[in-house]
Amino acid sequence: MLCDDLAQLLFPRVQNAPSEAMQASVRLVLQMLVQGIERGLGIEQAEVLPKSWDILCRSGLLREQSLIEFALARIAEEQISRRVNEGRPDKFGQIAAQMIDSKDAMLAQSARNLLVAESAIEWRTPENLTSQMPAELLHLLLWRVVAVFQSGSIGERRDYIKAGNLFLAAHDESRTLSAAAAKLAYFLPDEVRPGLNDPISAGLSLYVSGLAQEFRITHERILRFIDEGPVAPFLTLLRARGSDPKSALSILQYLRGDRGDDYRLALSLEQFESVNVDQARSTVLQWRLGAEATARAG
Amino acid sequence: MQNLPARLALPIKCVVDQEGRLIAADVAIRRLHASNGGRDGGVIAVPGLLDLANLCCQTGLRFERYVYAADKDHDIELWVEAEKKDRNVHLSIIGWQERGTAVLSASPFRTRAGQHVVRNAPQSMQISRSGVVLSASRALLENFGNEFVAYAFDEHFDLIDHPAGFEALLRAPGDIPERVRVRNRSTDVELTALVDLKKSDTEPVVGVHLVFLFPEALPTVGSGTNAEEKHANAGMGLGRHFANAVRQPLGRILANAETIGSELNGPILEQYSSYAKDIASAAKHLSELVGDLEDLDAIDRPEFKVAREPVELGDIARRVSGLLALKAADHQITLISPDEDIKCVVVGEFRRVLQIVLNLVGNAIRYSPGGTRIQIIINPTAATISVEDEGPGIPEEDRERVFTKFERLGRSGDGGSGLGLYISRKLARAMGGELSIETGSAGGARFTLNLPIA
Repeated sequence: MLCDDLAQLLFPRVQNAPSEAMQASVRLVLQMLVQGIERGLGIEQAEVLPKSWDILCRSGLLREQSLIEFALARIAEEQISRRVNEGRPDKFGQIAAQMIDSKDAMLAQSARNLLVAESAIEWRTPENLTSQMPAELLHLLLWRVVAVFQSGSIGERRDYIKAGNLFLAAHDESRTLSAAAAKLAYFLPDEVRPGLNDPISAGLSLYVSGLAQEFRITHERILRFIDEGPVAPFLTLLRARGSDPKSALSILQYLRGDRGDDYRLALSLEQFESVNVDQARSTVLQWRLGAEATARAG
Repeated sequence: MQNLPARLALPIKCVVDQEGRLIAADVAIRRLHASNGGRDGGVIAVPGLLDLANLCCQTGLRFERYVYAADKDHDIELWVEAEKKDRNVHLSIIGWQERGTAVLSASPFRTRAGQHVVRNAPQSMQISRSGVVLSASRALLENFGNEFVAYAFDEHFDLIDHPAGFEALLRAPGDIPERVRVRNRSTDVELTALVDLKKSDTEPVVGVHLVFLFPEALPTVGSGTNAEEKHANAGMGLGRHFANAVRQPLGRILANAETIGSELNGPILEQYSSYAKDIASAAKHLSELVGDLEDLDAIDRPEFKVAREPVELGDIARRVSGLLALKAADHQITLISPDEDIKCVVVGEFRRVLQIVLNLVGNAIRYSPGGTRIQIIINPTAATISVEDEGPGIPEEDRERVFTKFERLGRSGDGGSGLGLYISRKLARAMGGELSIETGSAGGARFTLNLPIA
C-alpha cells in the first residue's frame, strides 16, 4: 500500500518507477523513524512493526516528500559509507579529527559533534535514525504519530502531547550528521578549506556539506547525486567546482566504486573535459532553480 | 576566516514577530534588509532569514542554519541561530562571510536571432558540444523517462531532417538550422525544437540548448501512439528499439539484484545473497550484450559513418589505463601504459577508438592469469596502438575466427558476448584502419590497431 503511494509521490508520471527494493528500503527507514519516535514517546514496542504504522499508512500521513527524500538520502549515505569504509579502520575524516583540538571552541565542538554523529550512524537503531532528523521533519512526523495515539484508536489513553513536547525539547539538531558537518564546513579556517575537495581527508559528510554549501543544494540531494543513477550529475558538480578529469575520476571511483560501465564512464569523462566550468555551474544553477520552484509549488 | 567587514561585531541580532516583521535589529541587519528592498517595520526582506524565522515560529524549536543573502553586488553567507521567545523569533548571526560575486550566476541565454529564451523553459534540453544530453527539463523527463540524460543525444533521438544525427551536425556549426524536428525513439513522439547555440569568445559552439515548441502537444507516453506499429512501418533496425526496450527493465533487474545482494534490508541467507549476486552478474552481462547488439545493428547499416577527427593515441591509452586500473588490480594484473611523452596523432573518431582500446584491454584482463602484465604500446612511426598480454595467446589457426560474430573459441561463462572484436574490427575499418592479432613478445596475444596518420 505504502509502496504504491511512494511511487506515485516520487514519480507521478515517469516511466521509471522506483525499484521494489528501493521502495522496500524506504519503507524500512520510515518504519525505523516511526519506531524511534514511538520509543521516545514511551510506547511499548512488542511487535515488529510500530503500533501506529498501519494507521499512518492508511491515512496517507507518511506521504510527505521531505520524509521520503530524507529516507532516500539515508539509503544513499549507507551505500556510499559501506563502499568507502570497507577495510578502513581509520574511517573518520582527518579534518574533523584535526579540528577537535582547535583553540576555537565552536570549531572544536562542531568537530566533536560530527565525529559523534558519524559514530552514531554506524548503529542503525530506530533511536539513532530519529536523532538524525532535521528539527522540522521530526516535528512533522512526531505530531502525526502523536495524533494517531491521541485519537485513542490504539494504545492506552495518556498525555501523548506532553510526551511529544518533551521528546522535541530533547532533540538537538546541531548533533545531527548533516548539521554538524554543515557547521564545521562553514567555520573551517581558510588554510584547511581545500581539504573539503578531498572526500578522503574530509570524510563523507563534511565533503558532502562542502558541496552543498558551495552549490546551495541540500545535503540530501548531493548524497543522491553521488549514489544514484548516471554519473553525469555528480561529474557536473565536480566540473563546476573546477576539478580536473584525473581527480574527478579518482573521486568517482572512491565514492561510487567500480560499478559503472567503462565505456559510458569514458564518454562521461570525455564530456567532462569539453564542458567548461561556467557551463557546469550554469547547469547546477538550473537544477537549483528547478528544485526551489518545486519546493515553492509545494 | 569570517571575511567580516571590520566594523561588524558578532553576534549580530534581530527580532522578527509572528508576521515576519522586523521589529528590532542591529545596524548590519537593517542595512541588509534595506538593500533587499525592505522598509522600516516591514516584513524582513532577506528570504533566507524570513524562512528561518517562519520555521522557528511555527514549530517553536531552536534552529542553527546556514543562510544565503544577496547584498547589492555580492553574496553573504550567514550562520544563524533562531529561537522563539514569547511570541517573537530572535535571530542571532554568529557567522558572516562575504563573497565577491555569486558562485552560480545566471547569464542570459540568447538565440541567434537575438531574442531571449527563458532559461527554465518548460520543455528544454541542454546538449554538449560532443552531442551528449547534459540536462533536460522535467516535462521531457516525465514523458521520455530519464534514460537519455548523460547519454549521446543520437542514441535516443533522431533528427528527422538530418539522418546523420546531432553529433555530425555539431561538427559543422555553421550549418545548424534554427529549428529541428526531433523524434524520440522509444516513444516515436515527434517534436519541433528551436536550436540555441551556446558560444564562447573562442569557440563557435560550446553546446546547444533545444527549446521545444508547442509544449501542450507533448503527449503522455502510451496515450494514443502505437509505437510498435510505427516502428514496424518505419522499417527501422530492430537493434536500436530492442536495446531501448530492454535496457530499462535490465537496469531495474540489476539494481534490485545488487540491492538484495548487498543485504540493504538486513541479513539474508548466504545462499540467497549469492543467488542475488549471480542475478546481478547475469544482468550486467546481458546489459553489455544489449550494448553490443546495438552497436552491431548500427555498424551493419549502410548509412553508418564515423567522424574523422584528430585522435591522440597516448591520450587514449592513458584514459583506458585510468579506467581499467582498478579492474586489473582486482585480477592481480599490472596494467602498463605508455610514457607521458609518447604522442601519436591519427585520424578517427575519438569515442570509437576509445571503445576499441577499452574492448582490447578489457579482454586482456578477462583472459590473462593473475600475476601477469598487460602493456599498451604505441608506435608513433607506424601510427599503431597495441595491447599485449602474457596470457596463453591465440593459436594461429584461430586468429581470424576471433573477429567473427559470436565467436568465443569454445569459452563460456566469462562474461564475454563474442561480439566485441567483431565490432572493434568493423569500427577500425570504418575509420580507414585495421585491427590485427599476432603473438606478443611473452607468448601472449598482441592486438594492434592502426589508423591513418593525421
